Amino acid sequence: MKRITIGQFYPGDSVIHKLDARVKLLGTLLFITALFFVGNFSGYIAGAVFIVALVQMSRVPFKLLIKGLRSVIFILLFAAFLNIFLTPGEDVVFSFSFIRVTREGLSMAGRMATRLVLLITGSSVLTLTTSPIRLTDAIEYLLMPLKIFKVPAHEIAMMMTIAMSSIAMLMDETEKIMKAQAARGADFETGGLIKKAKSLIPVMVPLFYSAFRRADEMAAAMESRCYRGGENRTRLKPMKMTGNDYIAAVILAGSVILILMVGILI
Amino acid sequence: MIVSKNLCFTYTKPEETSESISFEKYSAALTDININIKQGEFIAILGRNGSGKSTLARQLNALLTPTEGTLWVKGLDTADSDNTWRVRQSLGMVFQNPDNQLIASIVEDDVAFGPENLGIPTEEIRRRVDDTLRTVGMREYALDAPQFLSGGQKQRIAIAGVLAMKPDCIVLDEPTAMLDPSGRREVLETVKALNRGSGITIILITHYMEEAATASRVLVMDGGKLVMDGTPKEIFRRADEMKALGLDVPPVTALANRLIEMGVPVSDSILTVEDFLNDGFIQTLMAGA
Repeated sequence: MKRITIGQFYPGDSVIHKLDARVKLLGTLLFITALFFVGNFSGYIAGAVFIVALVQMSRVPFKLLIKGLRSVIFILLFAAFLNIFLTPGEDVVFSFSFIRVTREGLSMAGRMATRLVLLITGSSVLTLTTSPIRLTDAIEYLLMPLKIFKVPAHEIAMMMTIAMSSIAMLMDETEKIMKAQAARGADFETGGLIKKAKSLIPVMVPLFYSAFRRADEMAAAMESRCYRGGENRTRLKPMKMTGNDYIAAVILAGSVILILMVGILI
Repeated sequence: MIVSKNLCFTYTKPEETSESISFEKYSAALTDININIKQGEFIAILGRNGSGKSTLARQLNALLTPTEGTLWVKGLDTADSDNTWRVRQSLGMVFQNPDNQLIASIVEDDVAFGPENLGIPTEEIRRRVDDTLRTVGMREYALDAPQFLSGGQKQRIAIAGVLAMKPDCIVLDEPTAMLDPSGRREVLETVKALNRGSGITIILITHYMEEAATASRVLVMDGGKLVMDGTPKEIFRRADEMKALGLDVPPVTALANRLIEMGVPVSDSILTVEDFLNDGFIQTLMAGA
């Protein structure tokens, strides 16, 4: 069964799970930003070591991360291919009529793929160890300054959370619909790309239908439990930075700076 | 607790022309409903699909408001938008599909969702979450993800989520329709214990006659109207009328009714298998064998 691990939560009580969601969110953003400045492989290795260490501490099975990567393999390959063929360069490794593969292209593609892998696993660590509710709280907190400009911070955060927690359900639903249609003779396997894409249209229609119905039911359930936006809401687990959170924040920031230094200087 | 007077409700559909959108009324979903439900009652609502059961449930929770007539929940007029939140706090609702009503991805976070919306202080939320999870027997699952639990367990969490808002009444809209027999039993036992233990009014919408048989009062709806109102005994004695409404009586009641027709002197108020076995005539029969 295909599963996307981005957006899924793996409950636990490790150090990483307990860490304040704001620290984790900011840490992840920092890490992702840093990745774009890192240009050499020693930097990527440092990044990978960082992620492996975090995963070890979070006690989330590695399998889940790998599964998450498997579902985005096409995007990865696509990005790599584009880079191989579209990067200009002098050092031609291989050429055939108009196709030119250069050393620069290959190295660019390699870097791009590694960067994407690190980016995806990095953000998976965040969502795997942070319950969507905590994540919402964190996003809302970080969007707070925008409230001055009448940005509905709470609503945006709530929408993002529900969207993320719905991914798994949408995957299940798609699978169900495809099986139901395959049972009645629908063919998703053969034919060219266009034919395959066309055969997915009858899947999309019922999928949208059920997604809307779910949204409607969910909205009714939320309203009937007195949900009325972020105003006057209290929390079961209020966000409170403890000494450990500050220490963790410093360690996280330090690690990211280290990765940056390794990536730029060495 | 709940009183309605000539409650009518009509769904409207938007009629779009090039210039304007007007709302045209069509198909009355509820007509002239008069009910009076007292605190502590256990009510079952029966009726075939499209008879207006769910529409009535949504009225009780102020998700819909009457187009005519009035509905009071705890003396609060549901049509008054100032009352909406108080109505929803005192009358909780559990829906059919367990997957579409659990909002959070950890059990205790989901239970806390209602109290959080009500603005209750953190320590009190904690207490309520622990208490209600214990009440529904899900305390040890507090930190689990609902997606890995069974349907019956998910519905018990949904009940806990409503319970944490300290309601006087819980409306359950076919809560067992998607569950297996053991899940159904779990949910029903939980609901019954709440009714007996805490005196919470229960309104159970169901298609299962065995569930209705254990209620203290049964309401039967058809075509948006309330057509029968009485104790399960009074209702299930009228097997022919029930059949005409597309409904059934519990199998054991049907059996007893047939036996009576054949001249066997069993009681005419048998609703459960236990009733049947404890019946005077059956007892003497068994003693003879």
